[in-house]
Amino acid sequence: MEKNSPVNSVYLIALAVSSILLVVNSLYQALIYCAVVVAVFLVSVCVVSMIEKVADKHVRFLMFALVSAALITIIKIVFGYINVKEIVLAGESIEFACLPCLLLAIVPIYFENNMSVKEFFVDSLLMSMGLVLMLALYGAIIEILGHGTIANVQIFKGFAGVEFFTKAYGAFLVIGILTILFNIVRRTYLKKTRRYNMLVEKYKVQIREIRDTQLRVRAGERRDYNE
Amino acid sequence: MNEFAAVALTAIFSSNIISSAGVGTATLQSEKRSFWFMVVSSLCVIVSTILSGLLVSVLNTYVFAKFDLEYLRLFVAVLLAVIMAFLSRTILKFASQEMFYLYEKSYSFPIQTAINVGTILVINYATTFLKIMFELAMFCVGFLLVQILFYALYERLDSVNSLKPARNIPLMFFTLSIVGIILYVVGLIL
Repeated sequence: MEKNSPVNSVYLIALAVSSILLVVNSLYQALIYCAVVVAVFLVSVCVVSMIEKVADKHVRFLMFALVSAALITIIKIVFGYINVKEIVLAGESIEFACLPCLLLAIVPIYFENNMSVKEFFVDSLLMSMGLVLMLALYGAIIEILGHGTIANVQIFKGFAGVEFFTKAYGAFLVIGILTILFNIVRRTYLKKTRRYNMLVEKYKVQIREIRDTQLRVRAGERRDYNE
Repeated sequence: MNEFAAVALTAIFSSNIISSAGVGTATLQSEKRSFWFMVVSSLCVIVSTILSGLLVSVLNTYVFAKFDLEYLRLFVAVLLAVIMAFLSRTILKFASQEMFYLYEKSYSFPIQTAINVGTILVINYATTFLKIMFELAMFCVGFLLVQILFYALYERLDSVNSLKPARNIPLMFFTLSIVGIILYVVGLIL
């Protein structure tokens, strides 16, 4: 992945979280949005993958957008029948869940052309897990710092939160810090994978050399025996 | 008149525009930090947002509200956003090959669609057509303002030595945070 390219998993996840920062201000809401976004994203990607061979990438994106919009409309209607306070609150602006789906769709539609089914599945799952983790952390941090509660439970007596973190600029700051943490994890993972791959290559070369030496020795022994 | 002034101030300086513009700003600047590319891609976003927003408002007034089909708004908004983004992309393709290359390379089409949908969703459709048009125009002014402020700030912040994991993406969010604070303070003063 390029250094500054939009097709960087951490970059896309951060963008996806930033697109719904105004409607997520508690841990419960973050978890509800996580569930909706992941479900809509995975189902829409599966539907669009059926026309991968016959349609252009822009047509596939249009298809993805329409499928995700239809799914979110259905979810909004279903939410209308559920009488749980958090779901009713999230349901009022659940349309915004379309934005992270559109942003996450860049990877399967525009970038990953030569992927095997296994790689595609692992990649989509990792992206979804990354989004869930970042959005849940974001929701928890915003709720603690902005409202002084976690899962609607007061943490410190007399601390009602700082208004700064309930505004967009505070949210951007939190997402920026979370992105740094995710970047550190991603870099460490990539370094370890690279080191692991290098070690595997090194051992493969060593095994090949040992096998060649053994073959040479055996050939020499056979020649001596024949002589 | 005061009502229009209030709408203008809210649209330009509200946190909505910063967050929906933020999706674009971070990406529009990512591929190549060129001032003209920023202007061209912002214009693409503005044209497609205004056109799709107006069409959604017309449909909302004459179809959705009349026949009680409000739940179809998201579906239509997404469809129009994609079509208008595609239209602006086609115009750009014929206007400048160099800009079109950058536009394609930075995956601006899907991101532009997301910005369009985001802006359409935050517009209040329960008012007159004129007010919706005005609000859309002010949102676009706010978007351009954020882009220009972001461009100037990010260029300076990027040249400062910082830790590797804090470069690029996190720095963009920190810059957006500063832009947000500036706009909030200006909005309060006005």
